[in-house]
Amino acid sequence: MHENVFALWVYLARTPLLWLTVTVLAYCLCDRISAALNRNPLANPVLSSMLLVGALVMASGTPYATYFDGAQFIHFLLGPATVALGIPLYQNRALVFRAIVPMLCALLAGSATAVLSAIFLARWLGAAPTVVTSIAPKSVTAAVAMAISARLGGDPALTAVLVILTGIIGAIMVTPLLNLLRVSDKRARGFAAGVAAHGIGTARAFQVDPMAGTFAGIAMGLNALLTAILVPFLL
Amino acid sequence: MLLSFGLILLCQLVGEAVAHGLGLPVPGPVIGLVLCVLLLAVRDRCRTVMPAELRDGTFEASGLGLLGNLSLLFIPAGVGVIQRLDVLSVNVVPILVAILVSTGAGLAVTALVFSAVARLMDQRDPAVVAGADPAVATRADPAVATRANSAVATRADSATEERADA
Repeated sequence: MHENVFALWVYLARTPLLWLTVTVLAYCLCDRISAALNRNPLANPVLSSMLLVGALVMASGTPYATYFDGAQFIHFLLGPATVALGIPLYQNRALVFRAIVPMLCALLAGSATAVLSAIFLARWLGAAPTVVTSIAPKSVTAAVAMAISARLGGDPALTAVLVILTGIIGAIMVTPLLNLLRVSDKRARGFAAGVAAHGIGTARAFQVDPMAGTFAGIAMGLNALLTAILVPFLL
Repeated sequence: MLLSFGLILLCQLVGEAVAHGLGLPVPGPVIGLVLCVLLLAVRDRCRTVMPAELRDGTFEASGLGLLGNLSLLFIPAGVGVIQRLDVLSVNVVPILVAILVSTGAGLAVTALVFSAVARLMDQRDPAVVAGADPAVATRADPAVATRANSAVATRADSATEERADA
């Protein structure tokens, strides 16, 4: 019996199906919990699912590459999801067009702040040079940040992790911080989430308000563009 | 459903081809986003010749369904943290401080600049905000609608009311 279970595990552990299933179900569970807690920022579903799945992968002694064989099908959808951001953008085009000037001003200021402060702080606090390069594009969506980091001699895998951490921290901070600063304009709130915390901030913004989500999506797209141009000059 | 997904993939594919082909610093999916907007604009210009799936809202529903689960898509990359625990533990202080402070600063600067510039423009040209299309204003941003309809309304009122749900 014991050997059969072991043989079954060996078989399952090698198929992409196992970790794909685990990732999807872990997210469903964590999203339920987040909803039950009234979308409290601290109950961020990305953070809790990441910890849960990460713990399972480590506890079972599975190499990350094996995990990713299954999870890549989900990871792949980041591209199509970025394209799909065009849909709310088009639906709200009248409002977006009206806010074009505040958007561009906020994008320039916010993007430069996010890149420069990360580089300066990491250097000042004595981080290794690879870490400094890897942290510079932290506010941009994962795929783009990894490409920037690789081109400038950073560590793309580390960048991916820093990007996710930034997104989670941004998604947790955005609501209390902007309440504290008394920013009530939903467009501004969403746009900030997209510039500073890319897709995870955008997901958070969509949870709160569709209008905020739309502006977050635009901000994420524009910031991916701008950061790719800015980082090589600022580093 | 399937056609919608195929078209979204096509936008990304063409985006990647353009980005790589022309050596642009812009990521392929971002170009795909622009193409998706163009696709919808073309659809609205020539509605009659478009397949039913593009006219009955299925395309929008498919794309928005994907965005509804955007959080899920970051988990595979996030789990990658287990691969880099060594680098992270050696640099834990600079990394955490840099991310916390820098993300907070990025959020604050972006939101403050946006709302300051937006307010400046509203004051200069209130007619634009009031707009000729009340449907758009109500559907979208209550903040805009409130500000436009009652210029005298105290900002503090709408601020408290919005903060409750944001």
